[in-house]
Amino acid sequence: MKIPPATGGPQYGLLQRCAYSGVVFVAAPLMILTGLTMSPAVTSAVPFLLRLFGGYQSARTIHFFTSVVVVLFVVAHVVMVARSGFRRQIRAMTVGE
Amino acid sequence: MKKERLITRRGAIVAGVAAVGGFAVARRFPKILPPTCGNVLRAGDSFTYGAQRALLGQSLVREYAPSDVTSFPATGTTDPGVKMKSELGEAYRRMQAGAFAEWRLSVEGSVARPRAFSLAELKQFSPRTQITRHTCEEGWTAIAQWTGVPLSAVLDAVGILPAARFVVYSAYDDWIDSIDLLDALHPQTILAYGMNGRELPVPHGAPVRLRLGRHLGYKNTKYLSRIVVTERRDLYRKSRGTWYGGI
Repeated sequence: MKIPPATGGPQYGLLQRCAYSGVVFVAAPLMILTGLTMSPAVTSAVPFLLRLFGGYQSARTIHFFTSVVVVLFVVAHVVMVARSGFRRQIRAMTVGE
Repeated sequence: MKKERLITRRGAIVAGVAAVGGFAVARRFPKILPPTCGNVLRAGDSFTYGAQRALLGQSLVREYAPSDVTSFPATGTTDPGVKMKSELGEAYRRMQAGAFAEWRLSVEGSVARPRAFSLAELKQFSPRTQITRHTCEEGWTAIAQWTGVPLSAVLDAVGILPAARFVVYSAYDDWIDSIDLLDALHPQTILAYGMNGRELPVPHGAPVRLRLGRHLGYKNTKYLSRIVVTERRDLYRKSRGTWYGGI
């Protein structure tokens, strides 16, 4: 499978870079780790998770606030897709062209 | 320029073989994997169960200090004698009036010596006391001290047969659930008759309830009446919820 090189769109701005790296490198790992911390079975094997997040209930709080951030991020991007030509963008993402 | 295809023939063949393989695996192990109860999304339970069994092994949950004990809400059935209009409720009321002297825990199924234990007989086993966290699926947690006999000691006394795979337990509030042997033989899986240094109160499952360290609260069945060791999980649980939540 050949993947064509990126076509060099406009450079990302500072806010975009912060948002994307924040979601990929902060929010997503945080959600996965706090989610695992909510499992008694997982924390019995990896008790470090409970120490890392200060217990079950604080892990749960972090998990839900992070999920709100990710939902807002997704909603904002779906709105942007809709505003920049919904049919054309969806076609480009699914069947191509 | 040659047009790139999104779905190649090779990709379609690989995906097809993988799907048939996955289906065959699920058909091959219907008695091992958690039941889906007709709900396709419940297939995720199989993934959780398989992943946790493959990766986690047999580890103990954290035990807390006496100063960590919290208030503990009683949810679900808080008195089978009031809630159950059937014979079960009547039997429970009768036993409760006699301070559970007539209560028996029947242990049967794939065991060498099936037997019914009275509360006094269970208390003759060397007890285990543990301060552990109860994690409700609703999201709240509570910490209490539990005293009881390890289920593994009771299963040793009746002698589980080599083919046994699951332990099904039922209760006076007409609840049935089950666990696999890895959970049943876990050192922190106890038949608890004491809570916070006193007899187990009725709202919390008197005379005996199951305490599982690594499961959510709903698997910690109260008001136990019967334990059946099985080879097949036909009677896995009464309601249609998750058999192995894993969280």
